[in-house]
Amino acid sequence: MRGRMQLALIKLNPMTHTERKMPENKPRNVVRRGLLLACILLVPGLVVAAEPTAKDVGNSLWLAWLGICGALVFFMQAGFALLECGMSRAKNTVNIIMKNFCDMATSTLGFWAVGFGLMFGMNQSGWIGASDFAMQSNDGAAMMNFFYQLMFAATCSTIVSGAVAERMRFSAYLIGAFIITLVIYPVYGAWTWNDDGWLAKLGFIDAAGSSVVHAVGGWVALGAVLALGPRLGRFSRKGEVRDIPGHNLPMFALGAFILWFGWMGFNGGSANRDFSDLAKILINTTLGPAAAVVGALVAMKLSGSPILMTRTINGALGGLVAITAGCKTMDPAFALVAGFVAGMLVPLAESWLLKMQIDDVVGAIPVHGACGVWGTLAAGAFYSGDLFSVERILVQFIGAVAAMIWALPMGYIMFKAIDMAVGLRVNAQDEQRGLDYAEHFEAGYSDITTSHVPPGPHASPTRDPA
Amino acid sequence: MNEAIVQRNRRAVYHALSSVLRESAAITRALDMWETNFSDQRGFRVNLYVNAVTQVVDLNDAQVRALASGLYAAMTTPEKNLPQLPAALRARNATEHVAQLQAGATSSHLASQTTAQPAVKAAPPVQAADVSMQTGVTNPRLAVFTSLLAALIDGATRARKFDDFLESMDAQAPSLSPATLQARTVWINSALTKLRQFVNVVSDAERRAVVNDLYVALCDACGPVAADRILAAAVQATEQTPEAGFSSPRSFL
Repeated sequence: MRGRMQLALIKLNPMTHTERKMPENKPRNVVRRGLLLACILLVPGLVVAAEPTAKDVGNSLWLAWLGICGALVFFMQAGFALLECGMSRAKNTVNIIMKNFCDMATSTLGFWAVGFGLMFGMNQSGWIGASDFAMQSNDGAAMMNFFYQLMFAATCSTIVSGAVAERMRFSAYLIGAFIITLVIYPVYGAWTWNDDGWLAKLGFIDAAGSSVVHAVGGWVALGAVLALGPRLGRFSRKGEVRDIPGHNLPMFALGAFILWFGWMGFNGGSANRDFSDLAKILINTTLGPAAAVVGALVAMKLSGSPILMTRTINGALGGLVAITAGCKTMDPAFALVAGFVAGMLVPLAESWLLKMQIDDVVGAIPVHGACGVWGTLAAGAFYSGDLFSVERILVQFIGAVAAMIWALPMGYIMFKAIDMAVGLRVNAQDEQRGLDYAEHFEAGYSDITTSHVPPGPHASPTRDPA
Repeated sequence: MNEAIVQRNRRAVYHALSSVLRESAAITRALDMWETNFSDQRGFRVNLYVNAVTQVVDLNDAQVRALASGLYAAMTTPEKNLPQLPAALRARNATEHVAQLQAGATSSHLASQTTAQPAVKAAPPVQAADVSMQTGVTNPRLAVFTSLLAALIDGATRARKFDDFLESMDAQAPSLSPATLQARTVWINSALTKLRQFVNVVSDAERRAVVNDLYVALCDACGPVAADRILAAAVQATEQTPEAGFSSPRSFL
């Protein structure tokens, strides 16, 4: 759906109903004036200098909006970094920032070189694209589309970071993030967002990536933590679960705020070229997490759990993930339902993971994996004008299962292969010291006393054989 | 040393001894050992005491382990849950206490030795060097290392997780030389009481791995957050020792 829409923009550039009605050179309201201004400021090269037609202005506005959305999605990287940092121990903060910062770089390189081509290139088989590698074009629209898609790819890879925090080697993580955007994410994207993908042809709906970005990221994260194992002492040999509280929950909350804010761009970029559904998308993008917060609170209350901020926020993020697939095809009332269920799903999935002794530091698997699957199904069930269509739900189910069958084993195999090649997990000594010191030789809080004691001057930052 | 604390500790030690030793004479000898050499210590080191007891009472490995475990548990048990001393021991201790006061050395190590019972006199005396870690004078790095390990063990005790800690140590297989591994097994079988014997076997290059070995066991027994706190507290406590001025405990991290 998404690929079809964007390729239509690039190749056909059709005049929409709204544009035909709009008088030339007379923006209808303040929003349009604002968008026009943004267009002029941000994308000067795309603005036609003299006597722009309504079509040109609309096109430019849309591209400018896409650029803004891409930037918002980029900003989500900061949200992920803060969220993960806040949920981890102080001795690993530098490592987490480094992972989230550097995976942007590796994702960019991987997606530019190969990923985009695999995902959006000529796809005769329905399984994989085979053109547009090392993306290079003079077409501004095509490049803007690439830019926007790149941010999605980076988001998918960074989801894994939160799950594997505090014990994965930096180099292993970067290799993994590179391969995710090189192969794992683009191949599933080729099935769904490429016009010729086999899932796209079935009518699979995933407007902004509940499955393509989030479920795939969540499944890869699950594969990674299965290959990696839990942090030292997270589960006792007798099966007790030990809490490892984050060192800075305000930072965690700020990260979530940034993610919610960035999600306006994440989903907003899926709007039609005439922006006719933008308001609906943005409203759904707000209603979903709002209902999810309530859902998480209700779930905690019903289960007798204390009202935890971490679970409430993760519930909201689950709501955002769940509304992502159907943000433009779902009525707001059903966005509430989708969000509410997602909010309840997150604490349940977190509890299940703990029961299975799977250590997911930030709750990436419940939020992105479980809610990604739910959002995919909800997009089919709550399709506006065709509610509870069995056919749609079945197609969505096939798509969700395909994401799991592809991404989970791929993630597991990939990280096992990385383990054999360069080593996946830091040793116990480094886990004791903290990855800031062990991997980067820098302290996140050098002037602040924490419960962690850094090694002395005689200690070597190099890896010990022990 | 506050008399109330001594009284409380005496009850705790008696409680632990009586749960492991059957003969009252052995209990008395071991308790006298505590009265003589350990009752006036602010930081009572269970492992050193158990090691000393093994010199005056015959104990097999299981008994050593049980005694250490019982002592660790008793030292952290609330006073109201500790049984009272038998009347005879209470009366004797009161007499000793008066005698110590008269000698003007209530908390003096040497003074308490002079008032010790014959059973203790007959036993090999515990050298002051063992308790005060006098090795620090000649080898401060070894002394700091020893102090750090002792402080980590004490941390597990204070967290009331000594048994779990010991169990975790037993289950681990750290990458150490065969000689160190062998010494480690003996150390674990002694319920970590034979600390001095163990540290003397550990080479300088292996000390960091040994500290990490204890840290991993702490993570398993107490949880990673408590393990970090215990490690931090142990390092800070060790940094207060005079030997730490010559060799930082952080070099073992």
